[in-house]
Amino acid sequence: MKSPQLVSGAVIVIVFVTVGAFAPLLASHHYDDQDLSLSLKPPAWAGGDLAHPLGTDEFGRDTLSRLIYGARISLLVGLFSVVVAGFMGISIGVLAGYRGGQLDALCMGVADVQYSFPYILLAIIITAFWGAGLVNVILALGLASWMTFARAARASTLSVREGEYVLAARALGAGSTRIMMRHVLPNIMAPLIVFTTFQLPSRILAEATLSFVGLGIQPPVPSWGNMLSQSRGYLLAQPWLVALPGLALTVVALGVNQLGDGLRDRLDPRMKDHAVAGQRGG
Amino acid sequence: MAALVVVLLIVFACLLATGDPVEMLVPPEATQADKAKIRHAYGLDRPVLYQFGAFVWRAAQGDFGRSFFSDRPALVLVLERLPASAELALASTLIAIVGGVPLGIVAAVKRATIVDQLVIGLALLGQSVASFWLALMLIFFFAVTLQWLPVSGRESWSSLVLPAFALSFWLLALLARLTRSEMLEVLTQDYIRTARAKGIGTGAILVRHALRNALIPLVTVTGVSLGWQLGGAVVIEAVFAWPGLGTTLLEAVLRRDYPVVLAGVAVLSALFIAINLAVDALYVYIDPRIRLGVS
Repeated sequence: MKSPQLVSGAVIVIVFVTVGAFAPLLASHHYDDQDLSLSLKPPAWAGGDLAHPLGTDEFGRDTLSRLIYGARISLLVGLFSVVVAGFMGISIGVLAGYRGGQLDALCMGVADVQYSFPYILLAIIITAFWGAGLVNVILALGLASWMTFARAARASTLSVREGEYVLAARALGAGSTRIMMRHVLPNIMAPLIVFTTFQLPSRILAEATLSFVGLGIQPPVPSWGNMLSQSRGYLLAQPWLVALPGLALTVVALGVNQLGDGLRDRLDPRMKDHAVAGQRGG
Repeated sequence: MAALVVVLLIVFACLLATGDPVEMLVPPEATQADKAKIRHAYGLDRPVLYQFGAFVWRAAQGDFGRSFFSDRPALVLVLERLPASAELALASTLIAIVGGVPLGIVAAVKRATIVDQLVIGLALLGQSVASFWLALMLIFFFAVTLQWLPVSGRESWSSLVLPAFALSFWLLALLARLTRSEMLEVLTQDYIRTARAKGIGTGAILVRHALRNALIPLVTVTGVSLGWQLGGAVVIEAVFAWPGLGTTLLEAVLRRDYPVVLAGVAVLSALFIAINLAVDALYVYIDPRIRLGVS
């Protein structure tokens, strides 16, 4: 049975990934092509023209082209910050869950400590420390949120640690690293994939939040967050400039959330109807 | 307590690595001697571990030092802003509970109907909207276009409506989803069937029998989120010029005002730990089996 959520989520994600990947081919203008004589043009349906279908910003830059390039940044940061957090968190979580004892207590203690602090604030502090920019934002969001993955991976590892196939591998003399890599990880991947999908929207929103406060992607490179930050002063004069990047952000986050719900129903049907949520992003 | 010291150590290390705060305090024409004098006055020329040890020792006595910029005690600056943040956090959490829990119950009772689909859709939307964008849109519609509510500030109760709603939407959506999933599980239990067989009304069954048994995860999530609403509302506070802890911390981070950042982090972490303890205590009232140690 096809899940409508899975299909609509996948379509939205594929569309945005394609748009982001082929941004230079799809955008009619470069994101920083300025023409002050065309500044603050409304979208085509609100009195603008088709040369700039979604209007222009205060520097006369084409909004649609900037949104297209912005998709690339948002998805890139979302994906790679989840990869960084996932790699760190899953490694620590599997190790803690499999080894148990003091190592487990230490790892989970550190995770609990970090939980006691809003992660967006920690990401703000880290980006203030490293400076803004693409790589730093990815690393900051990853470092600020590894513990959610660690907890999930640890819980899953605990549930398979005493499985017969693990005991059999141990009886055959397999080392801990081999057991973790070959037997534990593949068996906890399905719930972790679902979990990871749920974390993606919050990272996309978190990047927008960081860029909105000036600590994320720096202009003139467009991200939906910094587009919102730059255009908020024109809320009265040109509300579409504020509405459109936020709409793009909402639609892509909605798509990934739907994809997560659909994947959860498909890969882990016992969890159907369960509320799974990522961290708050913005 | 150990958690508090570790959080402070992490933030302290981050702050030290952000660069020299003295550079932000002095005019460009300041000489090296001027800078050295200021560094010495604030103890910034001492070894890092000494600085941290001295900080923890003073902090334990309630002294977080003075702001590099306003020269006022850092803890006082933070505590002055706390009531505004607490007001916003409590109001938004209340909106989320009052809106999210009934929506979740209705969705569970009307499972697989259009009502259920609408609630699921709303919950998905709530978890996909950036709260600062929602805030800007609310300002546009309700403050600028309709002029029903103020754009920013904290002058009257009406100033609270827009920031509280913008901050609450994510939690409202999460509570709606969580209530729905917990209620779906509880509603299939034998004691619900028994209550129905005894002729108890639907409302009483839902509130007294079902919701009470679904409360623990809801209380946990609400408790954790309250901590977030207190300290993580940085951007919402900035958008509405709300004079809370978030904006103070953001400004302090950007200006490398260490004492204020560390005082803010300590206060927030202590509050978060206190909220978690309160949530643990609340479990006992919600579910007497926890007090009696019955599994």
